Amino acid sequence: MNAKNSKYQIKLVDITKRFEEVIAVNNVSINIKKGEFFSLLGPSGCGKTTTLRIIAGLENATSGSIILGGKDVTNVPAYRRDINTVFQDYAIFPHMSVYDNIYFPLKMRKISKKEAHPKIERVLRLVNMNGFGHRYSHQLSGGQRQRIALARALVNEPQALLLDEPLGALDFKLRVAMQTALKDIQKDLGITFIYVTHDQTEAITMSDRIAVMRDGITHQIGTPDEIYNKPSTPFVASFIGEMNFLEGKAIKVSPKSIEVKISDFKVYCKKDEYKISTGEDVLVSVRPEKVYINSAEKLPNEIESRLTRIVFRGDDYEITTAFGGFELRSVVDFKGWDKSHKLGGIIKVGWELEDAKVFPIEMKKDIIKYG
Amino acid sequence: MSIATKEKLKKSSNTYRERKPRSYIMGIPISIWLFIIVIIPVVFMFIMSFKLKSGYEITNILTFKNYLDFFKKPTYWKILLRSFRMAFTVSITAILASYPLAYFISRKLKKFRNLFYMMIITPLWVSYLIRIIAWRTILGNKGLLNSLLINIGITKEPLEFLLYNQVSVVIALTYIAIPFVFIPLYTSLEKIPDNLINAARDLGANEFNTFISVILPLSAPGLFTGFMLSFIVALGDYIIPQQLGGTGGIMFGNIVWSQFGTASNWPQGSALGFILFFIAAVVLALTQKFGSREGILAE
Repeated sequence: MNAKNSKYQIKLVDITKRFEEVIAVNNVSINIKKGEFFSLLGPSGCGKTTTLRIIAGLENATSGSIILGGKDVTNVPAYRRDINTVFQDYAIFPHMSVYDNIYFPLKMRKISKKEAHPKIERVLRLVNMNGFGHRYSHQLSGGQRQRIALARALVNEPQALLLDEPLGALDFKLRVAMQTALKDIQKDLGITFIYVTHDQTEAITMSDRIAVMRDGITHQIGTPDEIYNKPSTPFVASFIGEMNFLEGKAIKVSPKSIEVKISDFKVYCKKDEYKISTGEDVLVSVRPEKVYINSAEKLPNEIESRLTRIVFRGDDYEITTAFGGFELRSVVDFKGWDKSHKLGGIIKVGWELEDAKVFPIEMKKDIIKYG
Repeated sequence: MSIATKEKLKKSSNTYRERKPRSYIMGIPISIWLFIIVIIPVVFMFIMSFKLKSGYEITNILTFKNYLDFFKKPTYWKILLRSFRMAFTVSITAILASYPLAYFISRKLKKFRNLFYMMIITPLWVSYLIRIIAWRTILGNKGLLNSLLINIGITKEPLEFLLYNQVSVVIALTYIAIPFVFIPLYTSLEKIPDNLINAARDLGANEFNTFISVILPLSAPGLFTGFMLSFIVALGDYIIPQQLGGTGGIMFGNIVWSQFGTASNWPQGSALGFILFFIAAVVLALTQKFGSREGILAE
């Protein structure tokens, strides 16, 4: 096995899945490294769960192949793949005790109860559930079921663990606690985790890398930093975090920057992977926290805008201003906000050149709008 | 059946009362109804079973004779044992026939599930007697099956053993019992969440192991209920043995029936009826005990 092969533990090659007329997964290729915490992120119906089920072997891809640890497992049934899944509803067998649930995967490998016992005890300790072996699913809370599902999936020490929105059913505080617990377990064991979620915060905080999906297509694969700071499509930009979108016309394209006319103002934006030519209509995006209000420093882009809304959010303010038919949101921290500003007044908003990214106008339809 | 309903009523009204003190009012109409159609006749029958028959008269003298006669006459308990054996065979055969069917329709079929379900329970809408007579025309010497076998040359003479014996009774009773087994089985199989089966596969169980360690135990409540229903339907039947059983195929129900009919010995018939009633209650209690895992998928 050469170095390149061992670097990636799981490879999805041109995976497509069709359900009659619907294409659930469209030509997806993903390479996942050994020991990586990899997330599939996207709104519901984006194909992330189907992709996960294809990796698990619970669903057959219409075309494409899956390589696990250098071996093509495309036609290997789920029960012979060295991968285990934590299901969204935990899928704890209700007719078996917790102990027997965890023994189940070992039993299927014909491991005797005696031999299995230390493994079961160890994995119960790992998920902090020692002493719960005799209980049944209905005697456990949601969080405890989740831990048992995790223990059961880990007891065979699989090459990779697949998690299908495992924290979706838990309340907020418990979810946050479980995020940390999961991340710790993943680090300790060094097992590859493939994590499906629609929660961007969860994906950003937990993952080493993320694939952002929509309508069966991967929009971007990258580290949380890349996804957040260099979104490759307006969809990624709008799905992860907050984003302002402004429409304008490119009036001058230089090798490193693009000059865009938005309403009556001229702004300078970073030139990126998209080819933009002079005179073209474009979409400019800038994150609210990169929009500064009445900055002391001189910014390359400054716009005079009318203050329309102030929302206090505990540790910061969300300030909305309007100019030339556009709304521009910005985030100002608690101390940085000058309370003398009145609604309807004109204030100066601005941003740095590298914080504004330009997309072709056709991609406007990609923007996710909530509410 | 009556015991089952009574027990259920008792159970539910008990738990209900714990939660809502005055909600027993809701139970009054059904209690009156049950009292009239179930409890009073049973009490009458119970009293009747202790009465002494002398000559053609039913006296008011109370006696254990009717019950003792059951133990004294070997024909009675021999036929009871045979009825047991037949009812057991019927239940097992009906389960063996219904399980794959219920499994296939509830778990493998994506479309037309309701259509198939309806097709299986449709026979329940046809008169019981007509369905039994139909079996006579299938199994008889000049019946459908024998004509077919002779026509395709498998046999020259019609097969005599098809009708008027225990075999024909078991076949017809199984046929009658299938919907009663199918419905609870279908319901319990349909309730099993897909993800439990996915999880079993995912954790290394092949089709066979998934069936043995997940699907079968989770369908156990339906299995027990189906067994119980078909056992009781088969044990108490007297029309099928009468129509298709000949002399060798009679069952305990026929004896009870004849006591009320030709022998016109009501006290004896009541006593025998009560013995059957008691046995059915025991079977019910046993299956309720083992089948009381219905709540397993409820939460």
